[in-house]
Amino acid sequence: MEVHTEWEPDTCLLRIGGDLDASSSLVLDRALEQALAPGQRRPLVLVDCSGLQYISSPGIGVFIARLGDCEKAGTKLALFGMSEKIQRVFAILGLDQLIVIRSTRHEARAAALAA
Amino acid sequence: MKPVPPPLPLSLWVACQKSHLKNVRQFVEQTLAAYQVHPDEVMWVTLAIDELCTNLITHAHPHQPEHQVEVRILAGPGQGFTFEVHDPQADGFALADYQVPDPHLLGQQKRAGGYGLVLIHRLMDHLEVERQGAGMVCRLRRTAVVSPILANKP
Repeated sequence: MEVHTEWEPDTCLLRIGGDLDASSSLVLDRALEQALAPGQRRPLVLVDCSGLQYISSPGIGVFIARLGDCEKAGTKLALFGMSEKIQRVFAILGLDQLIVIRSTRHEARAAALAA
Repeated sequence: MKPVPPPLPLSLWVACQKSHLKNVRQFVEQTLAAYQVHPDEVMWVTLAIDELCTNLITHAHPHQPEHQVEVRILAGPGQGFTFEVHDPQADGFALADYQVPDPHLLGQQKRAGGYGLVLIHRLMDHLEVERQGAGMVCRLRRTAVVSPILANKP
């Protein structure tokens, strides 16, 4: 999978693409760890999932575990742009109720900041 | 003219390395696509088998990258399929008896793991584990996975 990080004044934007499975979840985990590192973290982490082709439970587990780190750090986390089929994997587990998932970046930002 | 699907049963041996999970997914996807199974159903079965193999690689054989497990696709019952994951050297991993956790609770606890077996149980209608010598076979079915090509047999 590919992860590209962009730093903006109040947002860390991660663009992820490809397959997020057990072989690649560590790549995402490290990128989120870096996004939350003291001294460089922003109030908001947005993850653009529009390039994501596949997700299995290790990838979902990374998002959920890092959601806990975000809460401790006072950072908001939101995902956007994911395909319907990937969103359905979150929904089967009921985790779409726990993590902010929206269609567009604008909606994700607004929902995360309101949460 | 549509391509003739490969005759069943089909089998893929795969080494216990996470990088090989993509091969498992391609094997399942390509086989079921050749049998004209609905793409949504292909996706769910592929995910369930990926999760099962992930579990074996991560928990049963984490330090045995040369160890191989076998993924099998069999015809039936009816116009459906039976999927098997055969581990010739299992250590008694009792998938069928596994107490499925509440994923929402796992999420509230911000747990990174535990979701894979929940997905398997929620995606598949039938799940059984059979001991075979020193190993085991995990057998899975999803009723909605049917092929118009397969004969409607009991």
